[in-house]
Amino acid sequence: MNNKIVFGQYYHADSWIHRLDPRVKIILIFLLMTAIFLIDDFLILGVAIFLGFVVIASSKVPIKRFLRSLRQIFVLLLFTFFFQIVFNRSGEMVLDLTMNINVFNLSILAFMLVIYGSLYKHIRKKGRWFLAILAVFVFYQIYTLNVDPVYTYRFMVYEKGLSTAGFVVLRILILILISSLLTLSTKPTDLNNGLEAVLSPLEKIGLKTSILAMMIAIALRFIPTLLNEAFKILKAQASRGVDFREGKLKDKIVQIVSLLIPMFIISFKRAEDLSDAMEARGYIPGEKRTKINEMRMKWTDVISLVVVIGLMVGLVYMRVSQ
Amino acid sequence: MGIHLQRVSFSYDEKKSKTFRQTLDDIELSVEGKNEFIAVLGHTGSGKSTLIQHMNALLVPQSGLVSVFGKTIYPKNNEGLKEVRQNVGIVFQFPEYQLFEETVLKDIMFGPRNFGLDANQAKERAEAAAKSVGISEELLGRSPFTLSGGQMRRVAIAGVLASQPKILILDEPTVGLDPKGKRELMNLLTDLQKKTEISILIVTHDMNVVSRYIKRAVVLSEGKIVYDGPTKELFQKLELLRQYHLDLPEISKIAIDLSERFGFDLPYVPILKEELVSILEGEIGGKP
Amino acid sequence: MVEMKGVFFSYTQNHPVIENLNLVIPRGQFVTILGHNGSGKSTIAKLLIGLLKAKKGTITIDGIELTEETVDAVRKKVGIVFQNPDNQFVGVTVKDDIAFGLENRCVSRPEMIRLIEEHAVLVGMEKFLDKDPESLSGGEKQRVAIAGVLAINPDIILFDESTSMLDPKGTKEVNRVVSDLKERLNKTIIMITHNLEEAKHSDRVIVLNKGKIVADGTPHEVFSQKDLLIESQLDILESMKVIEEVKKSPSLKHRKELVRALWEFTFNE
Repeated sequence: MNNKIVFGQYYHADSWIHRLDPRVKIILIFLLMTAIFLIDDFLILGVAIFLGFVVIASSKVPIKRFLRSLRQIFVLLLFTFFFQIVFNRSGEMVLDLTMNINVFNLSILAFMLVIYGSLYKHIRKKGRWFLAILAVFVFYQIYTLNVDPVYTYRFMVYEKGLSTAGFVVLRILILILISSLLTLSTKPTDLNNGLEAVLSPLEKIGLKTSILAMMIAIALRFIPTLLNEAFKILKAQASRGVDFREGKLKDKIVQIVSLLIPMFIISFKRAEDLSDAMEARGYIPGEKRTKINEMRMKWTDVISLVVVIGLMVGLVYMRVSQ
Repeated sequence: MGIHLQRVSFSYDEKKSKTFRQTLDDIELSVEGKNEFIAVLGHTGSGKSTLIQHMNALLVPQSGLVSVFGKTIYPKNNEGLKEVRQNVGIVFQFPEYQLFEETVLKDIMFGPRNFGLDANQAKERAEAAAKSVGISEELLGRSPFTLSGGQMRRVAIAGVLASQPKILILDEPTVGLDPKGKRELMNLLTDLQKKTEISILIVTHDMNVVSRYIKRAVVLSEGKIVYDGPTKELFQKLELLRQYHLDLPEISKIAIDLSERFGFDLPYVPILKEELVSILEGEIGGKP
Repeated sequence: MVEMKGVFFSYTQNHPVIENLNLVIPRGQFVTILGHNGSGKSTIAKLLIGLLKAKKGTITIDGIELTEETVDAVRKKVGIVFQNPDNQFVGVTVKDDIAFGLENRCVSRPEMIRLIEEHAVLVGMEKFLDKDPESLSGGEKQRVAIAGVLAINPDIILFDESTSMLDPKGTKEVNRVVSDLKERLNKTIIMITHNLEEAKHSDRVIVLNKGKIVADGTPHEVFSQKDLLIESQLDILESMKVIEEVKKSPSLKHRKELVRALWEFTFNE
């Protein structure tokens, strides 16, 4: 079959970030994430965001890829923002709104929800925009109509609430962008090798990092194979009348089982064969072995480390001296 | 009535892709719903798998039409494809991997149940199908995973036969079987056709199987059909076989070798042992 | 030199797979073990590489008796290529997979690079070093497996039904590499299969039926034993069937020459 399955988020490009040693990248990400939490000044946060965008631009990875990961946590960000704004009541009051829910806007609300519900299938993606328009409409109502209110709510926003909300949201945003930068610029196998090297000191306390890394490496090797096999099983079961689109819950369970059990069986057989092959080729879990893939530190790695560590030290100093 | 592919084209690649390959290119093919025995031949990558998946609507053509027992499938078609699969059953490579139920009987019943039969009807069909592939009654209550590889393969075939398709398609059914297993499977299929008049289409590379059991051959190359006719005649076209990297049956190779060694011309290319011997008697020895 | 003495093996209590097997394979011999599915041939392969332990009897490889203590040392002398091309491909790329055995043996990196290049060329996969397994055909994957095994430089190589899951093209590729090995390197090759075609070029053919050796001789000797082959659930070569017909035919002249020509055809391809 000609399905070229590219999994994971890795986007191939030739940038200095792509070329960094994976071990260094992992350490840098860790340091940067810690650094973000040391910032409590909006100005510095702003500078950090600016630098972040500069780095992202230099990675030669299209912005669309970064936005994809943001989209997934959009709801979380929204929720966090409003949570802070509504419940954090410290500092000066910044905004004072009286919201009147009356018969008129209540019925408009109900009407729009009904339309949304019935059109859901057609406007799935654009549904969010619809909700946004709805919210604006409702808010607008609150000011313009002079009808007897059924219920009044005083919506107050405070200074601290606004600033904390801003901080939290921006921090989460930066964290996501930094981790995306890592996964977009590093091949999964390099990431695995880097992680193995970084965690190797833990061997001393009994954590078998080399075995863990081997397990991950094998998993990475077989994900495309397993996906292809899953497609084949889907086709075989479809030829026996399985149609994932129809059927009650009971039927759906059997449909999924008809895919899962063969996948399990294939995987168990594979595990058996593969462990035989690995053993026959002299693999002994935990024993020392050399590596064909080398990770070498270059000047860019050293400079990046020095810069980031320097930033960290600076931030810590600032926090401490406050 | 049967399967008709009219000017079917299909590709897995995007039109603008640099490595664009037309997997199926303007295919015209008809398969009757009775008594056909067809071998689909062609080197790996010629489009055989893609072709058969168009026959039970697992894939729909990007241009052209596929008509299966009266139902027309055209590009972007998404509806009503399930009934097609009741009439045209496909057994994929290593079909034993599709088994998943608790018992052999339940697994064979899976197909008929999906096509809407109730438990009793499905059970009857399953028992009949099991019998037709030589799975004895005592195996029906066992877990399919306790069976031998060969038995599992037969259970999987029964699982497709239980829905009583009019056309049975098998993708490389003899791969991984030892010589006895191969013989048994091919005999099973031949018997099946004799009893039920089912049409059988096999994708295979095994020329000895083709020459011994199969009447009609369709050869694919680079997405196009380059031959569609009697198997016997295909093996006469040595140039064509060479051009499309197709092997000859063993007997034919022996015949050609002997003709060169002993310096006689072959009146035709034999594909069966008996044919070869009678040619030898004619050319080398005197006839009685 | 491989020696199996009085070997007995069963997976479950009641069904012995191999009973009292005695077999000696001298150094440098190319042996094919023919047998139906379930005859015990793959069990022999796994016993020789120490993946299974004989219930009774001894296995000696190059003078070392195979035990739990010696199994690691023995595995440096014996390499095996299994049946399923995917299930023995460990690396994420061809290069990584060939390297796997070398890494396990702590070969230095410069040495590894050299050996990988050398053996990739040997099997014709040198242009594929950075390819991932999903983009390879079965025959290509098996050739990578062979390169990986050869890189360790074992004295004995086992092929356990290495072509039974391949299409004819892949089978041809693999068999070509195997006969290349026979010519160029002085390895002991043990080929396990149910396909008589693959036994043609070996020095010696052993037929296994239900765990017992029922024939042991040159390919010529074994191929002519029609009844034995059928009883062992194996096929007879088409050329052998024709030889039979030729011998039976009363009207055919030059029968001796025909039979000889057919034998030559059998071993020439």
